[in-house]
Amino acid sequence: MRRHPLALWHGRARTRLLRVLVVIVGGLTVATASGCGTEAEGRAAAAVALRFSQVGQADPGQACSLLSERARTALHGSAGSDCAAGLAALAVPVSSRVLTVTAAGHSAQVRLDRDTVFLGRFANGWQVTAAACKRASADPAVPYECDISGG
Amino acid sequence: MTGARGAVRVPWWRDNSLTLVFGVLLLGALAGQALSGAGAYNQSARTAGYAEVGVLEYLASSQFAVDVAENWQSEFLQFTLYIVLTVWLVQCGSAESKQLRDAGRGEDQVQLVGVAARPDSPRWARAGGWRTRVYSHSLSVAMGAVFLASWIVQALTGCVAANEERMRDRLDPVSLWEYLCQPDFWNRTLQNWQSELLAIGTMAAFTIYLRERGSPESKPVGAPHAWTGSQS
Repeated sequence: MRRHPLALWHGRARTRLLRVLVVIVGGLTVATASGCGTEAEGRAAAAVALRFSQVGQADPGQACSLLSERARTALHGSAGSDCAAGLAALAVPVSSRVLTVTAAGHSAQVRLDRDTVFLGRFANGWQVTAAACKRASADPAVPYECDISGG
Repeated sequence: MTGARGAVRVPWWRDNSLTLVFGVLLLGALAGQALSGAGAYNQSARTAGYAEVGVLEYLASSQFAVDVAENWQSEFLQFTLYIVLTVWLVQCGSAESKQLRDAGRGEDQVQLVGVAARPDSPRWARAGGWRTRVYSHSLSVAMGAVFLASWIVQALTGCVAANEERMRDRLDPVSLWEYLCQPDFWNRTLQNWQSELLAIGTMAAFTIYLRERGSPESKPVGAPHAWTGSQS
């Protein structure tokens, strides 16, 4: 009788193999459903975004420390001065509360009551990569236009 | 399992060499995918100035999970379809097909169920009633379940992976339902389906005219092209 490869999956061998598959698929599902720490990461990103918004005008020096290196550099270049002076000139919208947070892998978006902030997760934690952002188009494929942007 | 052929005792690994080799190849390929995937992910992270990840962190990432799941779902879909469709559909001359007169579920005598069951038949094949009906479809149900589970994992992790890239590009993230209508989900899905359908269809057709001596997937080298499946 001709044997098909699937015929090898009989009895205990097939049960063991299916068990392994179920464990792997189940593990992936659980890991995804739990967000792999996405909720905690979201809270951390939201805290940085809100802090940045609240000190952006009052303490630009501290706000600069919450920016990614590339965002700091971009600000420095556009202002022709240091980061704090460039930030002070932009008048970052001051927000008081977080509306929504989405964190996925190394990226996050935090919608505040007066701004939309994008963040990246770097070696030393979440940092603001773009702020003072406005929707540029109704087309969801067109990116936000941001006064502060880099990295 | 350890078998004995005549007086010679066959080691268990020899009796299970096909499954073992595929298991080892699977683990090797997964390890290679993890290493190369982490390398590609870190290249992209460096481009964006983001933190790089270790291999273990990458293994827990949605990027890795979606890449694994999108391939798994298509493989299990392929086998589920093949198992079910070959009950009724035939390909004249193919080593992978039944003959036209055998199309269908088959008689109990041929299937060794009910009164035709052997003493050493599986318990649920001997039991009759709903247990035999369930066991009669256990292979397609199991393969189909893994397909569905993998496809769901692909959707969930693909949504997270897509959102990571969208937010990096200053775009709004999408919900799971929105993601299911996005080109990314269907592009990942259909590019895998087409390759699997091509491979399995080609296999059915090539075995009409081509041979691999000694392989159970081939007709004997000298078998006429018109011989179909077990006729050989």
